[in-house]
Amino acid sequence: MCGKIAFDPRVKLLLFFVSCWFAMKVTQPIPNLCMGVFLTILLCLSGKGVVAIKYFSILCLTVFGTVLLQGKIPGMIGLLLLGVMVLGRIVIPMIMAFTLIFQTTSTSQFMSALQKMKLPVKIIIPVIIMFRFIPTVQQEWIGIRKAMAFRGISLKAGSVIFHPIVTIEHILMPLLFSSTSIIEELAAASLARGLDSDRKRTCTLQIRMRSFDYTCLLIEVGIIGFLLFGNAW
Amino acid sequence: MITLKKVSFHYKGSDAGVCDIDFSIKDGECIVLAGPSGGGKTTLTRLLNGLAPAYYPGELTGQILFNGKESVNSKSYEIGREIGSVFQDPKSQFFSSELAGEVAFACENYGMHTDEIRKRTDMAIRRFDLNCFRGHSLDVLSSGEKQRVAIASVYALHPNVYVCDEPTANLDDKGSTHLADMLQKLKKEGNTLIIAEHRLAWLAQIADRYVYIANGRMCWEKTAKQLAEMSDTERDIFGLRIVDKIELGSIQASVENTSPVLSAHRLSLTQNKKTIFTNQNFLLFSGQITALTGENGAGKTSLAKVLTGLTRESSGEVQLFGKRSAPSHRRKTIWYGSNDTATQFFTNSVTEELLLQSKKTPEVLERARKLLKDLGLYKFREVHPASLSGGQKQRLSIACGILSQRRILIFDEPTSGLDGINMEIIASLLKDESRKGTAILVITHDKELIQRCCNFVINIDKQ
Repeated sequence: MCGKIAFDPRVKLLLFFVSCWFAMKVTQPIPNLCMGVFLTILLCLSGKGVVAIKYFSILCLTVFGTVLLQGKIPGMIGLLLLGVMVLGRIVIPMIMAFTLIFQTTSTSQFMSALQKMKLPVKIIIPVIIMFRFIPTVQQEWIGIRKAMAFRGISLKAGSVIFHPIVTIEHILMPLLFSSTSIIEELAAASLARGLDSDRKRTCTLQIRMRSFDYTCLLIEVGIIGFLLFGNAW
Repeated sequence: MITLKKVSFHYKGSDAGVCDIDFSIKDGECIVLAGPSGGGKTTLTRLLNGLAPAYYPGELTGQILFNGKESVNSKSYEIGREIGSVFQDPKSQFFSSELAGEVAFACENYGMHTDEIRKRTDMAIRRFDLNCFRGHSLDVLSSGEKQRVAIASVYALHPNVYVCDEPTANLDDKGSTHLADMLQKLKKEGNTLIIAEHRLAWLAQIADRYVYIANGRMCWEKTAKQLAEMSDTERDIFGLRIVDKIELGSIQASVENTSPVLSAHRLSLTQNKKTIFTNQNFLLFSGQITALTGENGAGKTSLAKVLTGLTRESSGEVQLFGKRSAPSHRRKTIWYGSNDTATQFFTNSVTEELLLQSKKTPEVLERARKLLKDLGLYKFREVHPASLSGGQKQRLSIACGILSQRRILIFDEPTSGLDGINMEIIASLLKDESRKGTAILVITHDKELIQRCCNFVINIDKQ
């Protein structure tokens, strides 16, 4: 694991909320790009460089696209294009922050962080099961897509537009059934291994804030400040 | 010592369950719960580890005594401390993404001291030679390796009893052998083992006693010696899969001078700079069933994906009916049934599922009806596919392939997790279909299936 920095999950969690808030509120191009750069740096430091650069390029495209296209293309197409650009600008930073939490944090780190935040076990357990569940659902989805290809169910625009209900049914049916059985088994396994024990849980993996966590936190607080009082500047 | 006295259990809102179970398990004994799928083996394991009725609600009568104490009065975490559980599917029993965290998980839950947890974790990892998996993500391990991690993580808690529910359902021969070694170690340490399983071959050296359960009732109890003395016909009646390990003899193949329907020439696949397989050459003939075998992780499923056109080959080519065929063409000509039935049904009923792609002409309807009757699925025709049992789902999946009328069918592990009776149904189904001139490729490590229906075996080695 050389070259990777494991940021404190609490810092990442706060960053997720901050970047959602930021993306919803701030529309100017320069601050948006700064936020993108910040997220990209964090992702790169956590060992997700390739993904980070991919997302950042799309973000740049949407930000510049919005600036350049605004009012240039008339009619429906222009409006639609602008809509897509704005949507991208809002969603991409959120996805980046989401990736940072869910793909660069191990379950043990996450659990340790939640316990340090003094959350009750009743909240921690479902959150942990969800956390564990996301990669599994991704795997299931790959399996479903594969099966769809052979059953002649396509996800092309045509079938989505003309038979939306049937298409949704064909997607949700297998996804729901496989997900419920996985969740059920996960929950059963957790009980068999004493997750509901009344003793205080130990954490072998202790997380603590280090200098880069504090640096990161400082920047986040700065961003919150900007969001709260930014208009006054 | 575990004693079950006149135990009956019925799941809430369903007829399924077990009835009048009466037996006892001595300390240090290894008991195998055998019997057909859906017969009540899993329910019995859930009763033993306390998940029923605590997590799976239902009505329990009779007594389950654990060292003289009635287990219904204990909380599930109290039972979990004494009785460790290993489940069928390793992917849905992991909580951590790395080895040490996973092994430590249960100990952490019970609030042990950090040093104690470290000690136990290291010991469990060393005991089962898992050191080589440290630092890897658990998601990249093979099913067999995952199952070993699952046992090690139960071991760290030092329970005296291990309850395993079909632990080898997703494992190949090598995986099962490793698992057998682990269980042997556990038994030598004086632990009690209770294993629900219908693949009996790998258990021959470990099991002391076999309990046969069907239709929710206990039918008989035999010692290992008595079971070994059972005749083949008797075994067939009970659908027990062969006890001794079987060696594959040479399989007789008679191919007349026909041209192959599918031929692979020097097929290779490289993904993310990793060689998955290289230089695969083979032929599939009309009317023949070919088995594709190899260890877990040797690239069997990847090879199938290339053949069916889901993945593009890195080099080499695939010819169908003598002509070079592109992946998009192959996707339409070859049928592929994946081994994960959970993700391949899309509709509300068995009938609809079967007719999903077909035009509903009277002729097709008639064929579908006949197929359902042949497969014993006719009475379930209005039932939701998700509520079928594992064997029924596999049969439905194969039926969908047959009704697609494609000339080349590929099935991935169609008998994994199935008992002898279901395996036999599937073998004869495949044989019937191949007699009509279809070429079938089955990816499998089920030697009994190969013995019963395959004409050729292709083995691919791990790179």
